[in-house]
Amino acid sequence: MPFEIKMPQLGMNQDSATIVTWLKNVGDKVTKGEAIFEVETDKATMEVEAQSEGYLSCIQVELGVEIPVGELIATIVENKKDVVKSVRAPVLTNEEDSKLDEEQKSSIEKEVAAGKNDVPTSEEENSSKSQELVSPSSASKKVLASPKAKVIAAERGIQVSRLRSLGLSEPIHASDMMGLPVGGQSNLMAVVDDGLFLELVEGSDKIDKKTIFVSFVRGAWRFLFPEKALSVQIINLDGSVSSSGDTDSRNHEAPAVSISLFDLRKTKLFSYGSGSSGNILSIGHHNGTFILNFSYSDADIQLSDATKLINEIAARVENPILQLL
Amino acid sequence: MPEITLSQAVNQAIAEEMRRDETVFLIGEDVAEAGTPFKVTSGLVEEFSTDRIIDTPISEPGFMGLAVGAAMTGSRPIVDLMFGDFLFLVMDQLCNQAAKIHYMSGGKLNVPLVLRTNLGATRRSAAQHSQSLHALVAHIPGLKVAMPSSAYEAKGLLKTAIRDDNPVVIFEDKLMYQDKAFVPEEEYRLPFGKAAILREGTDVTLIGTSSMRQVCEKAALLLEQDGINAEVIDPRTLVPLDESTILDSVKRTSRAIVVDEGHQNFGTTAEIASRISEKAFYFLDAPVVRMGAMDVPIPFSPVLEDITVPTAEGVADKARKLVAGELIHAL
Repeated sequence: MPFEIKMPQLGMNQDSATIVTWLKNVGDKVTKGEAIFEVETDKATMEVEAQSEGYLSCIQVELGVEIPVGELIATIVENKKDVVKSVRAPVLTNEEDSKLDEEQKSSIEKEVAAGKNDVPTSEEENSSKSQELVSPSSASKKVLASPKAKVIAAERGIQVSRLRSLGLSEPIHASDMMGLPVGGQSNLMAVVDDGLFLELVEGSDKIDKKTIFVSFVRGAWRFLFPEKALSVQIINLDGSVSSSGDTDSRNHEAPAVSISLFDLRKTKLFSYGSGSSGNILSIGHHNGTFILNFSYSDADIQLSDATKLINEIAARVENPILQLL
Repeated sequence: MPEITLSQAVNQAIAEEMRRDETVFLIGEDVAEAGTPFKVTSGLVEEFSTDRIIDTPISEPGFMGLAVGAAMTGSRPIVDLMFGDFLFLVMDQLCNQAAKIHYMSGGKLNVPLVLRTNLGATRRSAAQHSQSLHALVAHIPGLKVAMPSSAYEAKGLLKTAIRDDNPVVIFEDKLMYQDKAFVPEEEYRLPFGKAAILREGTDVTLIGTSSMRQVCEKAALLLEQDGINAEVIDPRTLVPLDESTILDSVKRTSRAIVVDEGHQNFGTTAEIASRISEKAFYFLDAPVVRMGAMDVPIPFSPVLEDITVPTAEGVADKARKLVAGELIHAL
């Protein structure tokens, strides 16, 4: 006799809920008390446990759809041979996956992705009670921030909805905002003749061509701002990061300014910038010139410093001998 | 500057104003030889005789009505209502007559009357003699409401009240009658609608009326030990209310707790808290917290009575939570 799994009533006034994740697949063995799926009500997200032992069978409902309390969701059968394939939303095994039509598949993927993204980023400081309040169910909803924190966000050009992705624990207060960068982002571009560079650098066996631009950036920075710390990293075109050594080891009180280098020389691309935060220097090569594009956060670097920096780097690219001096 | 009790301060204020203005008289139960149950008016009858210090039968509506009539016709009565709880007996005379006559007579009549009464629990006086009912009268347009929080305020505010051409209700805390404070010997009056910042702070504003001023000051000392810098404000008068001092403070601290001994529901704390929420909303970094008396009849049992009113520890505890950014109310 199969055991019917019905949508449980999880709160006093709750009359429906949504399944956000299946923790078991059709055909999986489940023991009594084992969590089989996760539901989301308007108040919370919680796991629902199996009330009987057997094999999960015959899933009747789709992920992400409101299901009334008491509605049949699936069954648990005693014998593996009695397992019936799901009527509708198949689970996450590969063999099930292949049977999906594309639309269903993408909708499930979206749900799963949403479910994963919803995990709050930092919650160590929250009590268990507030954790519950900002946990998955509410995560997709309004960001909890005080009026003052919202005013500060507005002043800095940060969208309130972005505050969660910055990893702040909620409720967000004015003090949490203090460490955040201001929202402004600026862009500078320099075009440099490649003649001397190609002759001196490309022609040399002794120079590490991969990190030569890192050296230029470091050299220019040290020359202009000897009192400020800098860390430089190379971002590869696939998005991976190759670190180019640690932050300048000298003692600096302020945290290091970080600059990411995008080397586009071997591509047809010649510039890359980011609309959000961070300091990115891209180096492109086109028609006998290098194109240096510096997209930087106003919070980290002021315009006057940025112009000096790019001028100095450009000068070094134009005449690599400067780097040696 | 001599240190005198709140009771002596009230006595001095009445005596000084009666000497200055012969239209001022005092009327109430047991105000003459008995000097009231709290001995506030002791000695006045010797100086001013029973013509101006008038004992009445136990008939609050009667002498209240008499005083309203006297005020309309040229006198400046001070009515002594033995317990604030008896306000219910004089509601029509106070709220329907005194509060409205100036308006309804087209400005031809004034009611320069002072109703002196008291508030405050924890005196083991049970449910009918322990209430703090200032919110009842603060609700009525046409009445001013003063809430002295020490002998200094008691004298300065009472003298201002006696010279005001409108009806004023002044609530003294019956537990503070023997509390001493420094009071200037020379003539002074405290303006209505001007709050006092008793302690400057940066982290949270504690607004305490009357008896709750001391609670807030003690809470501020407790918070100081935790490195929290609390500002303490005494509004001194509820009507008119010094909104700007309160709002300026909250805009600086971003957090506020309003503490008052009246019942919390629909009370003084609610009014002040909502004004802060309305007018300083974008400066707030935490919900505005109300702390009033528990919404129950005040128990006779000392153990129970003590937990119905806000305490310094309770205020400090709330303040710590606000400053720590804890979620104050479940969503």
